[in-house]
Amino acid sequence: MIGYVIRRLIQLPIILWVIYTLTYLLICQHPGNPFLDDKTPKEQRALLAARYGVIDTPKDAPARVVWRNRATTYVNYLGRLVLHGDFGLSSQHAGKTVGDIIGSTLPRSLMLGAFALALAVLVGCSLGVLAAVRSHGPVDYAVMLYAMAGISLPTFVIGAMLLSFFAFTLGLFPVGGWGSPSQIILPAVTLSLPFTAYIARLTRAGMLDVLNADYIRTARAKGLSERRVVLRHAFKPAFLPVLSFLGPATAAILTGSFVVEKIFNIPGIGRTFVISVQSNDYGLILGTVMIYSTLLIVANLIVDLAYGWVDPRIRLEGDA
Amino acid sequence: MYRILLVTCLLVVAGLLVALKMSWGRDRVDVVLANGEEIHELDPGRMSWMHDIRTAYGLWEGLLTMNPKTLAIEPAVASEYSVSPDGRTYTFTLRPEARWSNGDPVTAEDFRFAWMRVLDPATAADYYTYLLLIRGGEQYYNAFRAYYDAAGAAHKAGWPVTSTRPDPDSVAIRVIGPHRLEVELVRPVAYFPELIAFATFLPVHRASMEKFLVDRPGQLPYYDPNWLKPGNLVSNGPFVLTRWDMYDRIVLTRNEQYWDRAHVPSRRIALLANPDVNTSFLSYDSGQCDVLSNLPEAAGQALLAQHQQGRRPDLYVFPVWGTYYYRFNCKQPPFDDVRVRKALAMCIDREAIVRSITRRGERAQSSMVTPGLMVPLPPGWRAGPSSGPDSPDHGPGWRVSDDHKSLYYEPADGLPFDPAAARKLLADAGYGPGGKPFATKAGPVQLLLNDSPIHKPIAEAIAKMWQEHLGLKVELELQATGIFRTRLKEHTFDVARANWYTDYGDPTGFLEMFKRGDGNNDGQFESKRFDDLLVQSDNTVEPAHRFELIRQAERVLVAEECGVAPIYQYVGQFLYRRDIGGIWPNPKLQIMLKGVAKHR
Repeated sequence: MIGYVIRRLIQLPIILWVIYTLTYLLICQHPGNPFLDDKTPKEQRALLAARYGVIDTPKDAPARVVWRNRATTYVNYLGRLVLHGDFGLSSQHAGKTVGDIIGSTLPRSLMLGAFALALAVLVGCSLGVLAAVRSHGPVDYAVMLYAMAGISLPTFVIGAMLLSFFAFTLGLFPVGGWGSPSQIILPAVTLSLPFTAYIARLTRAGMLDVLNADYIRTARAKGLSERRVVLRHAFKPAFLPVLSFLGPATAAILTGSFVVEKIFNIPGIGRTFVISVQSNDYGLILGTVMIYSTLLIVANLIVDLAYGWVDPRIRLEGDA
Repeated sequence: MYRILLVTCLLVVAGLLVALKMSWGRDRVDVVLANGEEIHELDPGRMSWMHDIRTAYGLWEGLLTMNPKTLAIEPAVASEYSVSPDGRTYTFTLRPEARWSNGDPVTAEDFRFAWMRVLDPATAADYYTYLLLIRGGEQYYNAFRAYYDAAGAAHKAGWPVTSTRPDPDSVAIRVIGPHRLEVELVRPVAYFPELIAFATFLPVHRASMEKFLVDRPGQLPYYDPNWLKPGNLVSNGPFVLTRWDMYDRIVLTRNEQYWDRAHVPSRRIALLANPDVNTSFLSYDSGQCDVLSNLPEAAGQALLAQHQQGRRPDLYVFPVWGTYYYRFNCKQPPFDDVRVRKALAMCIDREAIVRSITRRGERAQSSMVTPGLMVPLPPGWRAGPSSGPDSPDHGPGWRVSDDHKSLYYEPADGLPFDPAAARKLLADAGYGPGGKPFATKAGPVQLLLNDSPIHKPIAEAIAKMWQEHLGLKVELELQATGIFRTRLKEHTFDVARANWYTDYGDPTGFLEMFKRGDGNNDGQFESKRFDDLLVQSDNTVEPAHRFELIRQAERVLVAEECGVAPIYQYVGQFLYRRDIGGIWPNPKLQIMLKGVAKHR
């Protein structure tokens, strides 16, 4: 087990380096230039580029020079990141470092994501169990209808609907922004809906499988209450597919929060990421991509470890 | 198992709510103002964006300041100033009671330090060119660049740096005692007081910045942006920075050390940063903010319609110093022929565009310079014989204000909408029936624009006008802003949309960029007459005569040699309720936070 974790942790920097390199290569192909502003005198362009650790290459330079400059910039950036843990300055927001920007936007997205995920698991599992226990009845159909809607409706539709009803018609919640507890509810519900639906379906399917198993019959034969049978004996194995879904779900919730952040005007990292690409803010693009990647890799590792805990039959490789 | 899960999830949800509730402990603010996008740059010497400058005027105070209501330039840190008779030397007397937020007195040396920093090429300031008006400034800047180049090369080669930095005393910014500053210019500049009131000339507090200077061998030195963080930043304006939440809000709190704090009615002002104008509008309408300085285009049209029917009294629409225009690539055949450019310009029905497309109250405009620009007049000025006036207070290109304190510039007339004359011009150029077919390198005329809900319908209408009146084939090319800019700078376009706002009341602010070789002359307009007239105007002290020369230059640009086709003058749109005071819609779009307050 420990050996497995160590091996995964050793892989982490290698994967990150590959992602970093690929992102850098993609940025090189991205048209446009962050230093081409009407207000920036052309004499200042090279200076400005130097300030951000980029080499301003003339457009008619031979390919050899272009790639040499790109390689130098790549080494500069990577060296700064590895040696100082420093992503450098943001060219779009000169008053802030990339580290500052991520430091202030990431916690908001993480909070929103964690809230939404907790909500999704809570509501999803409960609905799934309920549907399985009352399978093929009106409750089941209602839950499954809800699940179908949750999966098929995109968040920008759900978000807009919730916003117009709860914020405008009823005036129960603010229309957006970030900071007060009441401002997190609507976006979190919006973000969690598709995941709730998916988890409800997974739980229901898992429960239906398990409820016919021999050991459940044994449990009932022992005279255990139905409640105990369902929640203690049947739920644990039925939860496994949900658990394996949580890894990709964490990823999707983190990266998918952009739309929700836009609708509800939440200053999170999803919006920052999109803005950084639009404004050719190289340092910020690399910074957000690295943070996203690290989060996803770690989230997947945690899910893999949790497997072993929920189902002892699963042995992680390298585990004696 | 289920119970563990249930409890965990509930704990997470509850924990997050509590955490949010605790961090929510926000200071009560008096006024909330939607400031547009997130700050790009809060370093006053480097900034150039409208919303950055607005924030800066809240935090710092220059020698002079602009009255947002009258646009008059008024004393601020300088209690008074005098100009030498030749108009080239300005002497400022600083008020001794001016203080930095940490209690230090504001001295002439603070201003000199800030201005010399803008002149340092490593600062890479967008508006360093303003400092080149000061005698010795240009030489200093160039020598400094040469120094950095030499130092960089020496470092690369492993040699010791032998070249020396230029002498700061070579720049004519002279400190005469702690509260007297003298500046000598290369030539008389009528709008210099207005520049002095501009953000580039704000002072900075050297002692608190010093520890953030990053100066590594082989690299250009820079200040770690952390010097601008709340707690680190020492400022001398009406407010201090107490909170800066990225992409969310900035909170300014009254500076209790500020010399004129009696005239700062608000204790706290929050500036919201939101790149999305639609959600800002929603938050205004739901009462989450009090002032909106930027409206979505669609909402702007709808609100104006309502405003005209007597509803929405909170909408303010006013002309600003900004021009929407099309530029020709004057080196790209067939647009290298002035007759072709004129023909195209004369087929743009500007009235139709503002009436049925933009619909936010814009005014059709054939000149490049917007009306309403003005410079202060020297006391006792009278129109002399050199200016050949029509009357003592009105001449070709100028008009004296009613209070005789300023001189208004009257823009040149551009080309009228005249399709028949345009067809003739095109035929003269050899195109059309009996002549060669009109074609560009790509065939149809490529109309380059950046993607936005307003540029596209305008371009579609103009393409239709050119097609209808001249029989031209036109293709729209929509690009993301980054690519659009690159294409302009690389001069790979036929015709492109453009706009320009000016920062000061002198018409040269609109015209300088069309000089040969200027970094913003994306259309490669080249006219010796235009350049000569502007140089001549630079060397002319008499303000009315100077405006006449500038007007002739403008006439060359918009009519005789037609480098651009102006379309309309922008309007500004503010939304704020009746209980907000201290905001005056002005053509500079500037809100001076010092006087903004909410009445109860």
